[in-house]
Amino acid sequence: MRPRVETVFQTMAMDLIERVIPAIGPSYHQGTVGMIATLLAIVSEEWDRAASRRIEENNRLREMFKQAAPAINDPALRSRIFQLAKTADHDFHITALENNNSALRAALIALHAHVETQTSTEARKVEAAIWHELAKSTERRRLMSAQF
Amino acid sequence: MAALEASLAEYIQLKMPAAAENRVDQLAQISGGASRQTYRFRLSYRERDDMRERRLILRRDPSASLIDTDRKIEFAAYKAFFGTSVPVPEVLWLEDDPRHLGSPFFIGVEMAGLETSPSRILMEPYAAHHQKIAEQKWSILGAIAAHDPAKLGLVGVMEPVAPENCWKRELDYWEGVLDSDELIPQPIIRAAIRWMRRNPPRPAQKVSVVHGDYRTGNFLFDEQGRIHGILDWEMAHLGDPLEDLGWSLNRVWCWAHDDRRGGLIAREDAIKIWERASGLKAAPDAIHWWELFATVKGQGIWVSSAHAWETGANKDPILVLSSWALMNSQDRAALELMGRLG
Repeated sequence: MRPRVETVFQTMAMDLIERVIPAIGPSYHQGTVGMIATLLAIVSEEWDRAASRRIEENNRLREMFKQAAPAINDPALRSRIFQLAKTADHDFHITALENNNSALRAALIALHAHVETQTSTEARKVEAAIWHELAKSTERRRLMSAQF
Repeated sequence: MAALEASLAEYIQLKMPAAAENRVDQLAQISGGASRQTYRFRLSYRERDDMRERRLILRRDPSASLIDTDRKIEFAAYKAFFGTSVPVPEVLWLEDDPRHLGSPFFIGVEMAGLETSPSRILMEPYAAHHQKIAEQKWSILGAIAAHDPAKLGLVGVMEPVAPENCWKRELDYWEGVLDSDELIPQPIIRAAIRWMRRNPPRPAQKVSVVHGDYRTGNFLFDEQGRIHGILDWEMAHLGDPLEDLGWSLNRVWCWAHDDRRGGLIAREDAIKIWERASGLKAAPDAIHWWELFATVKGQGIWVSSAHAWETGANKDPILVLSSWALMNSQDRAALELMGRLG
């Protein structure tokens, strides 16, 4: 789509903030339009990276699951992690990538809780890798406008 | 708006039978917390031979809100603190019967001409008064903690809790919100919850009134940096006073995009002011636990706001904005507190 979606949304957001909001009387409606402008700005930032960050994260989680499997003592969880490690993203719609991401992150919670209870060196390595990945996941999602 | 003005005038007539020629006008919706629809209006009436005028606030329940709260508790908290060292607006009437205005509501007195906005507080003339505002903000929070809930008449209104159970009751509740409302998995906050259960805090020094949403954005201030009213008591309850302090220090309220809490002062300075005013101690391990709890509670609210928008009738953009804008920051705050941000 040209003009580019992110540019269009960013421009529209600025238009609402600079031109429309000052022309609106009651403060409540000003606030509502301000929130809509902020939502447009967030979408403009997210648009271009939306598929990329999900594919990257899904692949990193699958790779971590491959490495982690030997540290899992619970057979059911080990099987679940193994199965997910073998999956791949074939449908690149955001909703499909998001569904895969949710399945992987739900399993990540179970894996994290499991290794926390283990005392082996392997478990500590997996736990460290999980924390590293969780910190990276917040970098991928970070917004320019965020307070933190 | 005309129909609501007429209904309001009829209702107020029931509450003020001695007043004549009741008239409601200038009704306008304003921003006022996330859980109720808030309107300001002018009430005019005749009392004996004099025409009188009052500026009032209507807080009405919406069909679905960001926070599920009990208006009776909110109303009781305003009533209890009115006239004390904790400044609050006066509230007048609480109405549970939806036949008057379509849903339950309460009415209070407007404190006009004041500011609440977290973005405006960063600008002049307010920016010159940050230290003064901060002194009052955390002193008032300390005063809330210092007040005896029994003397305030709130023990029978708010659910009691033992000092050693404050943390568990709150953590159970907000974990339950995540269980029921999360639309996508939350691995960081789930890890925080597990850590918190393995490392519970010491019992509360005392059980006090907890405001529940004490932050920049929920108090009224003027151009000289004076705080005139603490608002939005919709999540008030009895609990550990460190809960409020932890919430006020939450990273997502760092409106200036730096380390200053509430966009005002450093974390350590805020804690010192609170300790002085409350007469209590914020032991490092205890306040750390409650700051981490604030990230769980925050994520619970952002998750439930997204859920409410996606599944409910309320399509207010605040429900989406709070979710989109704050969830990742809240995760980062939790990671920082756990020493895992990298």
